Amino acid sequence: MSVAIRRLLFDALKPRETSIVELAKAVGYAGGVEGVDIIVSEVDSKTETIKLTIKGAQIDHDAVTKVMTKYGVSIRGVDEISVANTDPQLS
Amino acid sequence: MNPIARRYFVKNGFDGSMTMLGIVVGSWIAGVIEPRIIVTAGLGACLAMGISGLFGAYMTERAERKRHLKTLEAAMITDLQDSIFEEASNFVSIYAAIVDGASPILTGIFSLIPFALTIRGTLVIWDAYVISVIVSLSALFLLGLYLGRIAKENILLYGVQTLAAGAITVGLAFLLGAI
Repeated sequence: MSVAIRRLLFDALKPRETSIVELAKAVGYAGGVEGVDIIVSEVDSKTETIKLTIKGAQIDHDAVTKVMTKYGVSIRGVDEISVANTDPQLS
Repeated sequence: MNPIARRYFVKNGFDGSMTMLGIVVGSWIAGVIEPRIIVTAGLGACLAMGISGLFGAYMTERAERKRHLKTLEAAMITDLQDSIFEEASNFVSIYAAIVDGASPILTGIFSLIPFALTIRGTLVIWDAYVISVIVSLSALFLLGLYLGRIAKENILLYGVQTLAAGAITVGLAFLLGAI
């Protein structure tokens, strides 16, 4: 049995110097990612709290978190996740 | 060029031109007629300013960047060691060091060209002195114009200000020589 991550919603903190445009583009290049949505929910003097939604047919979770760490993003938690069973026997 | 590199370029470039002006005018007043002495002294000063700029800017910028990174890490409550912030921090330190090290050499070396031509027998030493002083003052004026462009103000006014600094140096040196 194999499952694929189709959607992830991260609650994260990023430095204000990291542009959400650059971050979204970088995450967009990670394995299995087809779409990225970022919403800034809170602004502090040096940091911003973001809600980062990632969509894809088979998201590579490790690759995504690696890119986010590279851009200085601190992941506080995964608020939502959608997975799908991709076992060919089921279909 | 980013603002930090711009500052380093102008500041040390100004130092380079002024130091050369000091060496050349000092030699002129002392009546040095051997161009090799001026070229050697000038190159030595250029080298010293270059190395001083290279190390000084690298260490200063690195310390500032480390401090900034630590402040950010404290705000983020996370380690940013492998992030683009660490990479940018290292890059800016090296970039600033290269600019700060190269600018006095670039601005200073032109003032020595007339003396190099004297060694080759193309120019008379006294003409070399006059041309070198004009080159140094022109470099100062150009740095002023560049500052004026950065400030988006009257570039000529900035140029005249930096030129005046050079002219005052020449004037004072000749005055001291006369005493």
